[in-house]
Amino acid sequence: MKNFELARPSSLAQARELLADRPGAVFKAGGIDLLDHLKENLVVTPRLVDLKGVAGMRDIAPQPDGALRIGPLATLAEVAAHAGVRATHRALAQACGEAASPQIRNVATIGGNLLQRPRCWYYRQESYKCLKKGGDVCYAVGGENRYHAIFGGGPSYAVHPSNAAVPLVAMGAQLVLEGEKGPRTVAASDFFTGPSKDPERENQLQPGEVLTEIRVPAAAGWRSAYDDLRERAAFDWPLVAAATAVRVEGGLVKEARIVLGAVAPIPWRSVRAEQALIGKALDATSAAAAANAATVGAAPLSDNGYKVGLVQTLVRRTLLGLAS
Amino acid sequence: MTQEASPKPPAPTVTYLVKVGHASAPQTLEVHAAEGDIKPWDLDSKLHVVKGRQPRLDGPLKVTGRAKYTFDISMPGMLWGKMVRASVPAAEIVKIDTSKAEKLPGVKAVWTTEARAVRFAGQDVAAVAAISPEIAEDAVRLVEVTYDERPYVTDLQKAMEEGAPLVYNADQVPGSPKAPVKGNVVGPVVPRRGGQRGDVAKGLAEADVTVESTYYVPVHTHSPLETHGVIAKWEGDQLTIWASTQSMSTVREGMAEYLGIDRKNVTVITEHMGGGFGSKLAASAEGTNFSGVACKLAKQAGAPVKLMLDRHEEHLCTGNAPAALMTVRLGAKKDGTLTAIHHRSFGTAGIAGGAGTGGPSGNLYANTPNCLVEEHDVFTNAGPAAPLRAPGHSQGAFALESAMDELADKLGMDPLELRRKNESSPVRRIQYDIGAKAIGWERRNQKAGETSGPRKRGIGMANGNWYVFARGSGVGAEVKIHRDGSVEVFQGSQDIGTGFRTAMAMVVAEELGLQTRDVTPHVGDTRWPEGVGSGGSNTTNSVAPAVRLAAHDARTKLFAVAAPLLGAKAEDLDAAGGKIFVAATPSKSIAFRQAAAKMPNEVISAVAERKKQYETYRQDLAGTQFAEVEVDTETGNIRVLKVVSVNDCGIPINTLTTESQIIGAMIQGVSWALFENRILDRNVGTMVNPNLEAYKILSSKDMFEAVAIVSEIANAGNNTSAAGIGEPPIVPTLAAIANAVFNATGARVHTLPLTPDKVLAHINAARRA
Amino acid sequence: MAKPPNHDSPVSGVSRRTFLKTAGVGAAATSLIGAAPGAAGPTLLGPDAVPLALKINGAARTVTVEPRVTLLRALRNHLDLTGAKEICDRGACGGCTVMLDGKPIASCLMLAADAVGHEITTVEGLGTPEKMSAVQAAFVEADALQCGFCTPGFVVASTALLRQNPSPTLDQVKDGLAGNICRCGTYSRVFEAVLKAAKATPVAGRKA
Repeated sequence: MKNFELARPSSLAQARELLADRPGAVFKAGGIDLLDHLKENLVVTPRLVDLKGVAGMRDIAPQPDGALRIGPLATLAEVAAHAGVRATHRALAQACGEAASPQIRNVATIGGNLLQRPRCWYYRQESYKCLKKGGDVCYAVGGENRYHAIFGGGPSYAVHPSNAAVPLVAMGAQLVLEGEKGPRTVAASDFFTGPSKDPERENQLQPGEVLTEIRVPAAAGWRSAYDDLRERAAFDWPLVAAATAVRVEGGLVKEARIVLGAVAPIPWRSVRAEQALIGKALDATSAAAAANAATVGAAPLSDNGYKVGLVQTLVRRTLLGLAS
Repeated sequence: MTQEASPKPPAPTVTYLVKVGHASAPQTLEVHAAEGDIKPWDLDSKLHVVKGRQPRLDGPLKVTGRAKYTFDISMPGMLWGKMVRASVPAAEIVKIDTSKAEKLPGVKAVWTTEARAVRFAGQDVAAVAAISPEIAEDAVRLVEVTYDERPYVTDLQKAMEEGAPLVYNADQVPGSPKAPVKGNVVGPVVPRRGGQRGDVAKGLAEADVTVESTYYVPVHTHSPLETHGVIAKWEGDQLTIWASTQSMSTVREGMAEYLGIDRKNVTVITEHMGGGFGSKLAASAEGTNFSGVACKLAKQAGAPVKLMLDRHEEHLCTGNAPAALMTVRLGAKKDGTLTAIHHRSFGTAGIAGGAGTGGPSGNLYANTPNCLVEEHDVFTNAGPAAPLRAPGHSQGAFALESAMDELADKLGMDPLELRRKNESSPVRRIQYDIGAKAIGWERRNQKAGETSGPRKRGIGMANGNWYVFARGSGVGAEVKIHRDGSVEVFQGSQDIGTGFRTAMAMVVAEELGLQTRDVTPHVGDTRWPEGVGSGGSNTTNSVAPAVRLAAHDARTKLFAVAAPLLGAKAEDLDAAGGKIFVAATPSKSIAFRQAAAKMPNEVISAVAERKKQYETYRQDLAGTQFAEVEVDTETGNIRVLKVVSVNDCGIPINTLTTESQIIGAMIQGVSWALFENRILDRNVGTMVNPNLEAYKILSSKDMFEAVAIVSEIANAGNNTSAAGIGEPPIVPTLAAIANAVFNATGARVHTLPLTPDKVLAHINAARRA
Repeated sequence: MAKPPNHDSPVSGVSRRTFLKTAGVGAAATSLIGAAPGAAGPTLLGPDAVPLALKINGAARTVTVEPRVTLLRALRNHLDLTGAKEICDRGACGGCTVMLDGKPIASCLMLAADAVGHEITTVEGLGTPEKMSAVQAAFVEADALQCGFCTPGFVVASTALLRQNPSPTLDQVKDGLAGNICRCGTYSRVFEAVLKAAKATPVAGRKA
């Protein structure tokens, strides 16, 4: 890792000034994904601007109406263990609690989890000049693509790595981004961007902008669950992940959200699967129908077709978990 | 790790009658030990310390972080070395420009390779030494290498095709292959040990039932947690190397030869070592000369240089287990009696040879009249292999023991009965009963996959074979008894985590009638009596006999001091429980410390050399494993529930650490079976998972109930009756897991690792069939 | 060929001046850094070596390192605390585990500067060979180590686990150790040791 200077501001204004002041400077929160990038020389920067000293960005604040406001510097461990989150937004607590390892969760922030770059093994090595690094080829195409996207790929096929993004999109979360022109609010479902627009980025955060808050609406009447399937039982990235949420009234599903992780360059919402549930009782039949609908349009590469079956199993099982 | 042939006739011998075998079926064996050797421990020996459960003596240092491994050592003025490695799989090096690196402040020395041909991505190209690891890392990025890239092939099967790019031209093929060379393929080679019996075509023709299947095991990397590396320090013409090695003596000889200096001027120290599994038997490693580079950088800079590889390098160039494509044909009579075993394998050890996998097929069912093993090495542009824990045997047993299960299925026979029917080892017959009981063999599905529901359980088993390797002579030990009663043992081998150091203290304690804690072991320094490289599961059984002899000599000397004090003859004395006493009248005794206090000199020193290996009860080491798994047939995830390993290692010196090694082998084997896979990009030829994130090693949450059972065998062969244990228990694991998965699901997966993609595909295929 | 690192390099000079001008806050990058970010207003460290005040195993230690130096390397290469190991250097093995304010973290993925203002506990701070902690003693007794290279990481993670949950179930032990990899295969004996240590120490007043 090339050396750099470490700027430690105590306010957001200072942070933005310190960033603007030095071309090529980058923000840092927990630093987990950033240190990985620095060590692999994927990021070479003259200055890190550490956001951890910025006040008021770490609180997890359940609101009177049941909504949540989460500071992006809250660690994954803090979100996972927070009694309020566990009570009202269980899928989010589960997703944060399943990520990485205990050691990582104690430092990694939820903001960093949303903004981390893909784990694609081509992207993560300097030697592969891939599309995500300004090159002109996605090595996964015709290459080693067992962990790559089955939805929404092209021209690059890396999957979005965030566990937490999956339930946040399902829950209709809003992200507050603060830049030069003041704060703006973006729906999590719009925040993440696929490679067809620009393969070098995964979201619409603008240069100099800081994610300052995650707002999750109240989930009264909703039940939600997150689960994923992996090769290793721990310390592994999901092969597929799913957050499912339903609001049942009078024994019938009124609303549903089904969002998949690790299968697309963005958290992948399956409206088709949601529609398969509306107006039905949540049971084995409707869960199976939703599971099948979830994989309509899947376009696997040479080695990742198995993910189609895994998505179906996972969607069906998480839905049935909500039924019981 | 050469196996000793029977002693040459002229050497004078001493004859002992030894009670050998398993306690349930003792036999008497007449052995002819070299003159001066003492009677081996056997079934009649009353052992007080040996066979006990002794926590390792270096444990307190290790659990408190005080143990200094090579990676942990630093010294004043020390520089940090870092290497530049080839970034492409095949090329001619046109130019290496180190000028920018040399100019970087803090850089003190630079090395470049003289080789011009690049044959794998990861090969040594250049190196720097700098005042901090960070500056060394900056410096290697300033080295500019110009390559003229060449065609390459990294895939085993593509390398076998006609017209594939040649890794070596015909005149460059390394070694002196006696087998035919065609393109990248060398072979067939029929191994000397068990490679050919009878006529396999005739055996297959005589069979009532035959099976034939092809199996594939990918490359595993050793991934020791302490990477390879050394610290090299010159003081005049004296060179000291702190090395993370399994073979200090090889480092010493290799560096003396490479640098053209006297062996006596090289000292190698390995106080603590963070894992090797076979990859640390060379002077550096198979695909890199980092030790030599560090020595040269240190000489050039006039300062000690520490050169530890990073995790990425560790995966690329320090060795691996060859990939193997194996076809096994078995023939059997209706009653299960094997008539033929045919094993034909193509393996790739990258740019090296040695990818044979026929050991189990050639030696496991030794009563089978017709057997043929044909091995082929296939060169690819990939890092060279190194021995990995029972080299070739876990792969070979995966093929043979999966095929045995397929044969049992076709015969409609219980797989365990099929093995019993063809068993040649009396030890394994005993082990079958022990293992079957421990796993509850009767609980297995009578028909594979018969349980209902998506999560299906199954039980399988498989055998493994290994051999008694022991270095017979030239290994030494020194035992010192001080006048204050303290005792030390000195031995120039290294403890690579097996508990060897503790075992040596136990042997001395046994001989002197003391407790283990009364003996201080010193290992890990080539200035001490000659040691062995730790390969082939040979360290304890090569060294313990020398240690016992030295302790015996020291004891004899101390008895001479004690005899007049007890009014007895020295030869009538014995030692136990911290006392020296008259064997016939134990009440006539003196405390060990009191006797030592009467020593005429400060210290009794006894140096002994190991005597030759001689007749054993068995020359093979038997082992069998049973596994229970649960397969989620909708996700392809396998949960291993329990593995039982029953193994023979002669007389275990320390039962606690022996069990630990067996448990460790099971865990590593399950990790190989389920997860591990070195993946080279099929288009670019470089490794996509050179880390511990995507090269997946079993985690705590994948753990199963691991049951290690030592079936103790008094084996003779040396005065401790010890044999080896590091390797044998990993031989059956791959097959045992695959066979359990078959029993659970009815799906037979021929390709490892057993990841959800493959398992699901096979379950779905089996369902359709 | 070699010159010592230039502490008056134009790079650092410019950076400091620019910072002073734009942010208008006089942070002294050459004086001891002893507080977490935010606590002392904006500061700018490096790129040259900066003196950091760390609290390690209850003692104040000063280490002068470039900002890029990780906590792991500061401990190992500058303070001779080599219990924490550099194994994967990417947070994927747990060998570098130390406690930060009582919680296990991967010290290879934290800058040393980020540890300022926190209590750091390394394996050396838990016990000595002569006076091992309950967890350390249980590891030795159960033979929960082979080569021992991963062991310090397991000991620290196990200690942190028992401080948080003094009576864990086997599954909770597996969860707590999910960030630690062992290559020799000691997991089952580690579990045994942790459960034994939990039993051996009364819950009240336990220090693990």
